[in-house]
Amino acid sequence: MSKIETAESIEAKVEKIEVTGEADRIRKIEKRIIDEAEDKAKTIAKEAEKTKKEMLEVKRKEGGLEAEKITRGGTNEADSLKRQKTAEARLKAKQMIIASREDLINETIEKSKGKLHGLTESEEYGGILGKLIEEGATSLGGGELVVIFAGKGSKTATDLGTIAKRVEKLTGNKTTINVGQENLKSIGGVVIRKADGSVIVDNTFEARIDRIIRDIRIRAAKILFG
Amino acid sequence: MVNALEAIRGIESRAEQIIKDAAKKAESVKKKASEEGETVKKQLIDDARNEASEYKKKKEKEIEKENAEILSKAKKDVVALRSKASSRISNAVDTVTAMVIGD
Repeated sequence: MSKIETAESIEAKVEKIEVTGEADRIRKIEKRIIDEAEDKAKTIAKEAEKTKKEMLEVKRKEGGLEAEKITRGGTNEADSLKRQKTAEARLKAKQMIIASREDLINETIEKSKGKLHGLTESEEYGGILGKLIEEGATSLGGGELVVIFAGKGSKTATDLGTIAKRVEKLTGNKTTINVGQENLKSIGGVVIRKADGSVIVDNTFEARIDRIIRDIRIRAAKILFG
Repeated sequence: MVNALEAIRGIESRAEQIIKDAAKKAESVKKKASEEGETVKKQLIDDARNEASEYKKKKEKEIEKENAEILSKAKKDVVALRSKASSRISNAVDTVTAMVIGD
């Protein structure tokens, strides 16, 4: 209630008091003023209640939204973590299988190297060397060649003259093959080179393995796991 | 006349007080509502955090179990692979040896 309103209403009320019975009228005025004040108080209380409800609703909504965000975020994070960890475990499992396959292929190659080394002591080694020398000499196009043997004993077991003739026939070039005195560190096989050392063919077992390692792996894998 | 005026002023004053009290009470109600609202909001957020935390724990248990199963199966697969390959390795060695010597 403003001061102007209060002042005006007082003037009006005083006028009425002068006209009618004073006490009675004051009571009437009192009733009206208090009633009005109580009405206003009720309105204020009602509005406060309304505001209270609205505020609670707003906070409930805010909380609900925030809660939903947290729940969704937490769920997504946990699901994502699960996907990631499962993928990691699957990858690890796959790697275990791949590593195991790789071990078996490597084991095969190592055993094969052992077998190849064992061949150097066998009777058939002379024939094997002959083939390796002929192959290398032919790829060099014949001519004056030197062959270097891995290991001992094999030098005498190979008829280089016969091989040279075959190479000569295949290449059309006069061919001589002499034995080189160099030491060749290898499990087996030979190195053939031009006498002047300009071109070399490495036909040691290790070099031959290296050249066809991809094919060896594929073939071994087919046999082992096919 | 003066007494009446004073009486009315007194009444007006009472009326003003009634309104002031109502306004004060209303402020108090609003303040309380604000606090209550914050409490409700906080509770909802706390509940959501707990729910998210429980969900995460549940998923972690699932992860642990499933990963153990995956790795256990992989180990069994490795054993089976080696077992199968062991009977074939001799054949593979012969083949590789033949490839190297050019047979």
